[in-house]
Amino acid sequence: MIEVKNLFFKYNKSHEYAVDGISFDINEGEIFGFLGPNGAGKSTTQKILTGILPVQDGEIYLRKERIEKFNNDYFNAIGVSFEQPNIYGKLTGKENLDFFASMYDYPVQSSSNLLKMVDLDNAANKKAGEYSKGMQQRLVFARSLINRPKILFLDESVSGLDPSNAVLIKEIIKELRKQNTTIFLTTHNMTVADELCDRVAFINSGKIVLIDSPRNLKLRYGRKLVKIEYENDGCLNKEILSLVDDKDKQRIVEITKTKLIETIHSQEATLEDIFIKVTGRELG
Amino acid sequence: MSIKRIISIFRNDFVNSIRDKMIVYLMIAPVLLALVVRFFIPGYENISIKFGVEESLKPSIGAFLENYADVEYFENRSEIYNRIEQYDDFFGISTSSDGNFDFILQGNENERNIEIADGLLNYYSTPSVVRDSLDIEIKSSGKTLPILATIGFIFVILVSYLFGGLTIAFNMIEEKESETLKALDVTPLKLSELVVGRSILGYFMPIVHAYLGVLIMGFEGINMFMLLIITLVSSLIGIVFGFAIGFISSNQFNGITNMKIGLLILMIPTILTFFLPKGAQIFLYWAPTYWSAMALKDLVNVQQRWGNMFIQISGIILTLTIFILILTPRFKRTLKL
Ligand SMILES: Nc1ncnc2c1ncn2[C@@H]1O[C@H](COP(=O)(O)OP(=O)(O)OP(=O)(O)O)[C@@H](O)[C@H]1O
Ligand SMILES: [Mg+2]
Repeated sequence: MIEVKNLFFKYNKSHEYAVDGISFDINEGEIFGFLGPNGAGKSTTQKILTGILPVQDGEIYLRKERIEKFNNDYFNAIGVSFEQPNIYGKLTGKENLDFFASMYDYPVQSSSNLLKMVDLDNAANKKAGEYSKGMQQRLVFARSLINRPKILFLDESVSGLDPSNAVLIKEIIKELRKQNTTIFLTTHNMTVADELCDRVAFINSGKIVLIDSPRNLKLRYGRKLVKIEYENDGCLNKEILSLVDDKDKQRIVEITKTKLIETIHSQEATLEDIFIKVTGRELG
Repeated sequence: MSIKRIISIFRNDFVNSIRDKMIVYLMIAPVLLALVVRFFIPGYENISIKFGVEESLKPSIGAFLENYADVEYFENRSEIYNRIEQYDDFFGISTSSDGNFDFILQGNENERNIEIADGLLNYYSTPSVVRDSLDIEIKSSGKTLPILATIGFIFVILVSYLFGGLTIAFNMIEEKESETLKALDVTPLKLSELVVGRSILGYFMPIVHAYLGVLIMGFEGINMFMLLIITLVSSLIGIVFGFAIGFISSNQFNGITNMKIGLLILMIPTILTFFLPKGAQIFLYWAPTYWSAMALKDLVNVQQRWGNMFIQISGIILTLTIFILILTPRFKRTLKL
């Protein structure tokens, strides 16, 4: 559906690339997870793919056709949910949705249904500026669905919600996949990615480290990891080490000899463990 | 261009504006200003004068004065005195002992009105041959609009279109700060549609204010079609001003600083229009607000002519174009991420 080749992006005053030559493709009807710690370049990538930031270098293809300039066909077909809830605070929830609904060239969803779907029907006529952060986030999510998008970009749409609302949004996302919506889902929450995504890309410092399905990743790295927590200068340190890698085996011996160990778990690796293992970095 | 989206933008701006106390104040301010001007500055009405004439003088001087002013008749001199006691400018004429007439004043009348009344009486005493040659001059003397009323009206319109611009600027800055602009970026909305839709508010307010202003201030004989054209073209000043502030300001704080500087630059030429001698006015030609003020001044004084107005309107458009040409590269620089 979407193919990205060698995408680079540098913010004006910065010396480093926020997006540093990434390539990936997203299949139609797939949920593609974009995972990485704070500042990895996830939102920047989403902004380029949605036309908010210009393509400085690299190529984007939609259904095998190179996109030179995003046109209204594209904007009519995509839905975008932002990481900062960006709503008109003086308008009610319903007015916010209706205003955006009027921007599209084709029939749109009813705002009342959408509000009901994200459990905001009781607050429909309240000013959105008086919503809690989680409510605003759900409003932004609902807004991204107003034009029944074929391609949906979700930037941290599930993070920051309470458990029951997180479940609600995840269920909607699963339902959308059933309807063959292609979804680009950005998150630093590995559990969410594990539960929802067909494939995930690990991104770190603007580079994609690996792309695979959560299942494959866990098969590849799983069951052979131990998590060791030990005390070091009064702080608790955590390391995840492979039981097959020679260097890691060496390290396990070293830690057991020199440090005070608090816990050792051999475990079914989570995506989070794998991420730390692959990038050497904790998630935000 | 999609009309649906343009109207949506206008409606959204309007609703956002009337829910903002500050902007509501900006919308009401010109109306308040018009009311203030109306009540503290004499318009035509206060200049028109009234005479109280003794019955016996009705066929002679009474009949003459009726041509120029309101005349009431009274039985005798003491009734005239009673009427003069009242607040307004009322002049009494009664028979005098020498068979001629006396001119009675309370002493607190407007100087200008005394002059007019005095002029009329002198005129009555002049032989009729001379009188005919003076006719026109006296009639028009009660018709000139006081300079303060002119300035007042011009300020009502000026404030209206500049505040219309500020409303545009506030809405834009808020969209930047709340990042709702980004949400609009990913819809089919085009920049041109946003600009056109947003400009409607900048036209809408000054037109309402201009007609309300004329109504409140009780001006007579104004060409309403000319008023519409001058207001529409003048509104462009506010719109360009508003978008300029909106583009260069990234938040409310520096937005307000930019607004103050902008207002100063645009308002000063209007004030100077009334105080600089004619020869020095050439130094104001760069200011679109100067041309707008001149056009309005001629209009409310019922001296506006189409040809003259065309020059003044061209002045507005030309100076604005130059402003836009100078500012565009700056916008482009600040818009770049
Ligand atoms: N407007 C900006 N101007 C300059 N630099 C920016 C801007 N936005 C982001 N960056 C930088 O670009 C890099 C990538 O940021 P980005 O927002 O894409 O990260 P992210 O992966 O979405 O992180 P998070 O999990 O915190 O949302 C960071 O180093 C950040 O400092
Ligand atoms: Mg982000």
